[in-house]
Amino acid sequence: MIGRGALGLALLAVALVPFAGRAYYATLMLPFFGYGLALLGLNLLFGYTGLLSFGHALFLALGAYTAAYLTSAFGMVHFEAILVSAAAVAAVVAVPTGLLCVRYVKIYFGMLTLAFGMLFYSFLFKFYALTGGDEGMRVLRPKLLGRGFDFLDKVEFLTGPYYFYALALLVLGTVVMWRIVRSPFGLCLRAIRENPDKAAAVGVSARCYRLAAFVIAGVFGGVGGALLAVPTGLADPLLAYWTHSGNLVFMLLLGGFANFFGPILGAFVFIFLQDQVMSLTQYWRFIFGALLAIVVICFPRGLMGLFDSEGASAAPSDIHRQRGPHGPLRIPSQRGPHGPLRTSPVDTPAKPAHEPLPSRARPAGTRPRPLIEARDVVKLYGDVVALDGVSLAVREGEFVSIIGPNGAGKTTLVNVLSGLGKPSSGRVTFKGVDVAGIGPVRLVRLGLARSFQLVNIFPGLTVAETLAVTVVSRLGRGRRLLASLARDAEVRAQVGDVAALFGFADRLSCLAGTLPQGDKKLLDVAGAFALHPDVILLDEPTSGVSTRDKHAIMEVLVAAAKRIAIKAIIQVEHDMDIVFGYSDRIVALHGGRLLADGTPAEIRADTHVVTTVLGKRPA
Amino acid sequence: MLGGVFHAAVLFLAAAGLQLVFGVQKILNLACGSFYALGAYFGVSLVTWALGAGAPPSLFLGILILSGVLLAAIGPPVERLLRTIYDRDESFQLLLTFALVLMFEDVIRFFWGTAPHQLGSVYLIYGQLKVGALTIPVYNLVVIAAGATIAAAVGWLLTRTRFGRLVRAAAENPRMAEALGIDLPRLYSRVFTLGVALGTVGGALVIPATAAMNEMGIELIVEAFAVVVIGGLGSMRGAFAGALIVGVLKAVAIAIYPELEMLGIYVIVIAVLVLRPAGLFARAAA
Repeated sequence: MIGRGALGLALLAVALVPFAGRAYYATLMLPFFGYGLALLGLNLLFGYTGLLSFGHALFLALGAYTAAYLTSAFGMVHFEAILVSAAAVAAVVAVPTGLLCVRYVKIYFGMLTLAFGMLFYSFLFKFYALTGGDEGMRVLRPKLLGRGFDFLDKVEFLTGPYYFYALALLVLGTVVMWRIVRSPFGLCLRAIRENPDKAAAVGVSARCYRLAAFVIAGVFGGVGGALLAVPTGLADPLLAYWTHSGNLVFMLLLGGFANFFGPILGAFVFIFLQDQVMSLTQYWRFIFGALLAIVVICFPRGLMGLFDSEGASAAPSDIHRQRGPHGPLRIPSQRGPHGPLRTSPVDTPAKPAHEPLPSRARPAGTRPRPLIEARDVVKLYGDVVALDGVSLAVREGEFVSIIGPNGAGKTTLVNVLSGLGKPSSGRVTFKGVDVAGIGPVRLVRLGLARSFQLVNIFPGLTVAETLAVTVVSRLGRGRRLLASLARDAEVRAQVGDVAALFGFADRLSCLAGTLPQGDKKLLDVAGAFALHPDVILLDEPTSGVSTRDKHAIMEVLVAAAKRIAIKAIIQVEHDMDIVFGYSDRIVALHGGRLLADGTPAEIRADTHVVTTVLGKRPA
Repeated sequence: MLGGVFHAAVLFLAAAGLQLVFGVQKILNLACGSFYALGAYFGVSLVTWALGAGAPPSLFLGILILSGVLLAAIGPPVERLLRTIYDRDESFQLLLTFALVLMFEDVIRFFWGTAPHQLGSVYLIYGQLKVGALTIPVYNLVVIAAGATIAAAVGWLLTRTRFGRLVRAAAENPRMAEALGIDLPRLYSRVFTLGVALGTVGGALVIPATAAMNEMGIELIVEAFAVVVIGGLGSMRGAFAGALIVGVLKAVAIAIYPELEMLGIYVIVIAVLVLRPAGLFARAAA
């Protein structure tokens, strides 16, 4: 963490530059403000959301041309109006481009953004009458806060009022971005960066959040571009060229994208280094290329990475940080005699005593309407029939286990039920709504959550943050752009509750990626519970955990389900002790077909199931 | 129109290099345009030197291809540099190739300066063909034929040979391939060099018809990207079709409405992405 003192000193130094005597350095600082703003936006996209744009220069060009148009063509010289227009134009362009681009990630996203940048470039370049072609358009001196400063010459204006105006804007932009990355919204962005599928499983739609980040980044770029165009007095098409976008990414990497202040430092160093190297040799590109290669290969965390190795700022994990006295890398290794759930509020009885789930208003004798129902579900993967006409209904108050040998279609069934996979034919309804293939995000809203068979976590988020993502999702806080997550008492309290239930209370600041295997799975399960769903689907919640720990975990699950008032649990499980110890009903699958569906006693008596699925009669 | 096909042939070579490297190493090589530019400059120099040394002018086509192949020697060292980041995030790989773009740009500037380089008179040495009112330089036809031949050869190499099987196995699942005893570093080095060679030969072949310029590299990348997106990433057939579409479209646009030259291509790119997101010839969903 950079000390506030260092930050204040840096700000003071920047503010004093115009008084240092030489106007040259002050004019050199001017592009820094524009680039700094643009890079803050770009880093929201890359550092926080994990999307690398190779066409961000598009938005700088948009801002610059907006300024040029307003000043030259419409005579609008009030800079405030120009900035607002630049932001608006950038947003208007960012929405449709973003809608197309965020359907892709990684390299594809980079290529698409590059294509859009170049589309705009060739438009600027070729449509001479509209844009001035390769000559660009003039940007006239604007009025700041209604004042023209006509008594100052150009350099005096730029290094005087304009300098401080731009500095103030950069500070304002920094504060706004600081709040954004620390808001519930910012947390969701990082969750998507870490694991978009898992984010969807807890109800955070990657596409919506990515689009929002893209638009915000575009707005910052637009404002930065307008700020950049005034000192040069020109908006030219090269601003949109793809190598300019490349330079932006270069600056970002140079400073360090993992740090909140990295981009600003990167812009600063890049501009001054470029100035120095260009005065030494005309082959500055070679030097910079080599420099970039070195940074990429040896210092991927950039300059800021050299200062703080812990990368505190891009991981604003203030939630609960003050509670845990342990560092984030403390791996809890000392397990108590009762398994990993040392602080479990539940007393682990020697023999798991099964109690039915609480079912509200369940008059004796009547069967309640099914919560979730699959009818004649067929799922094909190419020629492979994974599910062959499976029908299943789960009612309120039930704990249903799905069993079957490998390849029986258990996980496929869970995927179909949880909206991940669309059945090839058949119907899936949840609370009477057709949910076939509607995707996890909407199912979570309807009240169905799931955990995964394989470890599925946000490796770079802490335990507290992981749980906070789900709580934020459930409370609908993700739209709060500027609210402080750390000060959100409700989120914090609920995170604390779930953590206590699942025994994570003393490990809130551990990175999820550093937890032991079994705890990673438990964290995934805890996240599903934190959604307070009506129905929860657990895909082998205890696989990969020793037999002794399994019962402890199951006790926690059942206790948590009661506490949260979960109406039904569906689990896939191989361990027959668990299956018969906890289930109200057991569904046996084999070769994609329903083999049996009945109470544990019925299943135990079914010789067909016993021979195909269980292999031998359980003791 | 035929000019478009000529351009398409060259574009295909560069895009094929891009596709090959992306398909196998999963690296999107921004520097493919730089290889193309290097090939062009090196081709000019080598042909000029050879002609000066008394080589018969009619051999210049062979010399150009030779120069491209010779230049592919920069492949292994560059691949060695990229190898340091194979296990990193794709963003870093993209950035490292961007670093190469910056460096190669100045390498060219250092050796050949900023003035355009031309080959002069050899372009028409193979004569011209008169078809109705059209005059077509035979050289263009030769390049189109060369492009088609190379396309066929690469296709044969990838589908019919042992090397091709190894390459496709590595592209499918590198760790599995390595576990089965494929020498992955060597394979990568070869594939990358082949990709470089496609780019440099493409650059060398285009040069009799135009001039070698500093900007040609970074401009080609954008076109090659368009080709790749239209055709579908990692697909050779896609590169072929995409190059034809882009090349012909460009020629038509220049003839009819020059303002739309590049704009039209991007509109197609975006249309393809909206209608068929994985490209026209994508193998699997991206």
